[in-house]
Amino acid sequence: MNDIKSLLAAALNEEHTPMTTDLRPPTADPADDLARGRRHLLRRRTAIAGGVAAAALLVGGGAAFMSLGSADSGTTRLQTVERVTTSAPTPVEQEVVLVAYTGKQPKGYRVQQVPDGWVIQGGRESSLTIAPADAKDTNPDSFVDKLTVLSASSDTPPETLTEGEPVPMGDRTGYYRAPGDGYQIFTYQDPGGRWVQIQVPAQLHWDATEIAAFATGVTVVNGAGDSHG
Amino acid sequence: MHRRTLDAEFAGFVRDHRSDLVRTARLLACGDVHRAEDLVQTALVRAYVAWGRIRGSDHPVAYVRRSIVNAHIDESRRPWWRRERSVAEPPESERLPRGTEVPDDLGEAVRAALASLPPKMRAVVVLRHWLDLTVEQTAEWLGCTEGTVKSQNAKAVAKLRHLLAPDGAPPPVPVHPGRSCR
Repeated sequence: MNDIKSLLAAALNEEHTPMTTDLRPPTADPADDLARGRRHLLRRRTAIAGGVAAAALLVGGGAAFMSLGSADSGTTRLQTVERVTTSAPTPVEQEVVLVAYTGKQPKGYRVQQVPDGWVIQGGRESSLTIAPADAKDTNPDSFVDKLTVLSASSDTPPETLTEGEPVPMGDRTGYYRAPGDGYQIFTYQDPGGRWVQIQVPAQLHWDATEIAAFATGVTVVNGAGDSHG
Repeated sequence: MHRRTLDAEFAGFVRDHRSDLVRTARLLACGDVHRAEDLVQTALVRAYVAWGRIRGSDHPVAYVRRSIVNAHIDESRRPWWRRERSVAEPPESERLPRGTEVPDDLGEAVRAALASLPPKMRAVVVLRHWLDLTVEQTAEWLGCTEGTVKSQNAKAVAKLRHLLAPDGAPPPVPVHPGRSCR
């Protein structure tokens, strides 16, 4: 054991549960972890099944509509349904599309597009928060499950700003990464030279291209400042 | 393979390794047991979902440890987390003022010193010194260069030494920065 390891071992010592690295840790009860894992798996499968069912309904409904509007025989209509059904994609996630933003521009930012059904909750000196119109959490300083734009702090390590996969956005390049838990991070330098970081929640189901499209329409203007951590 | 068998294997894995995983997470979380528990739960849920694949790998524990480290780094990157951590004064001056005596409780002092390190630098220390990962492995886990690992480790060790040694006194446990850059 090296000296730093000794210090780290000291950091683990607690008043009621002294621990040393040389003892076999006590056995843990796996019941709660199993239950959490099962719930997560069930949610995931339900979401996938729901997505497939929704896709089937859409495809089936579209096919039925097409067939009702047709003057062809019943046999032909059946063939139409089969053809459409078998060639249709089976999306498991509903991507939220971008629509033009026509409301009042938030302080410090110019926004050209927002996700359909989402609204700007607030623009502050350091952050812009966009959330579903029916979101229960309306606090613009809370970013959980929201689309968040931050003008990067001037003391942000430069290497973190270009971390991830380069993504073209017009004449510029953005950087995309998906650190986990469904969240995605996109960084880019706006026309004014300020680095901007966008945090994208899972429920938008956006890929890097979609995020770049959103980012292209966001500009930091006078009034926005550093986002300090 | 049947889910029941997978569940039994996963339960055995948790029994054998959970406590150890929590200890690693506690170091990353500077002793915060609640945050450490969150990190471990997040990693174990991911492991459960992918257990059919993980169980066949050489080192399932490494997968979960890596998942814990990723969760730790991810959390620190999130704006709301950073916002909650905002303080008016630099952490080290608040937690362990220079020139004051190191608290009698060495563990508390080390946890405070760890808390003064940025999350990624703390992860470097834990990976290199607690899990005994090589520079190459650490760089791969954290997605950075080996040079970054070496420099971050050297800075971290120097800072720990600085914080844990009152002026003029040797640190509670000798620290040799040179050993970290192999």
